[in-house]
Amino acid sequence: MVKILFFVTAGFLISVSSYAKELTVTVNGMVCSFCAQGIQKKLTAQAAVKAVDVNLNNHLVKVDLKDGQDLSDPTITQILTEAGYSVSKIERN
Amino acid sequence: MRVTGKKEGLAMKSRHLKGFIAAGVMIVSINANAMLVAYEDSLGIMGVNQSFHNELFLNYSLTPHFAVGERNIRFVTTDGVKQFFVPEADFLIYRWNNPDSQANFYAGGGYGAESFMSQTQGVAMANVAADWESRKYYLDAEFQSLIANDTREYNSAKFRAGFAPYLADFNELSTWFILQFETMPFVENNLFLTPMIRLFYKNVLVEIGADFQGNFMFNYMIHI
Repeated sequence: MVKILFFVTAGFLISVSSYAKELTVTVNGMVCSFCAQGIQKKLTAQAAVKAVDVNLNNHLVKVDLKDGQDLSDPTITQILTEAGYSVSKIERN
Repeated sequence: MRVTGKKEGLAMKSRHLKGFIAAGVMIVSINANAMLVAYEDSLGIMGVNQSFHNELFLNYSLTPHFAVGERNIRFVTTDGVKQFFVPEADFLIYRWNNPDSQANFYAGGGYGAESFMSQTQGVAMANVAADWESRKYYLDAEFQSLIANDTREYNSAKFRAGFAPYLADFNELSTWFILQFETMPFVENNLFLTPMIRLFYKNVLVEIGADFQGNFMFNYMIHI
């Protein structure tokens, strides 16, 4: 019984942790506040997104995801392309 | 003869009143969103205000490469005050996204109306613009051509170079020093060199400057 409980709990924890909580996206062409605003607006409109933080100095966009939610790399790339920019790297934390 | 003179006087007062109202609407409309094309589903309001030129441009980007808009222009030409109301379509022909910079090439055009001395006629408009900017430097070139049905042409060109004295992040106020060279052959003193300061915070941009002939300039741009 203890073993079963252990495996169920471990399985649950592994499945939850398999979702990245935060994505860090390196964006090309993001040089001004209008760019940042457009990117923030587009990403914030996604149901899976809790918060977006844009860092113009490092060309980085940090996307905080809701619990149990995810955004695939192709989806992120598409969103940023529609905002007018290109993605050079996506990291999952 | 006197009646005709009185009528002309009234008509002139009416024209001046219309001009003031149009200029007022252009200046007061700050609250209502322009690069020629911005991100999908965005609204842009842009205003240019100089003593010889007022412009209000509203546009909506349907895609990252295509926008529709309406441009209202008031020029104090050597013939008098002329107003243009032009619905237009604009295209982002190409964008170069680099890690530290961005460059764009835009083109657009439309067909609308010119109003002058209570007469209205059709007018065609074409514009092209190219810019390059990094977080520290900025270059811009714009050409606009308005051709009225009576074949009169109103061609203008604008070149800009600017730099930011410090790097500001998204939540900070960004400041730019810009020098603009502008040519408008159809207005008096048709060459203008205007140093200006640009203040940029989130989705609001304002520019304040004055040319060497003493004409003040106030421009704004808002993206929603």
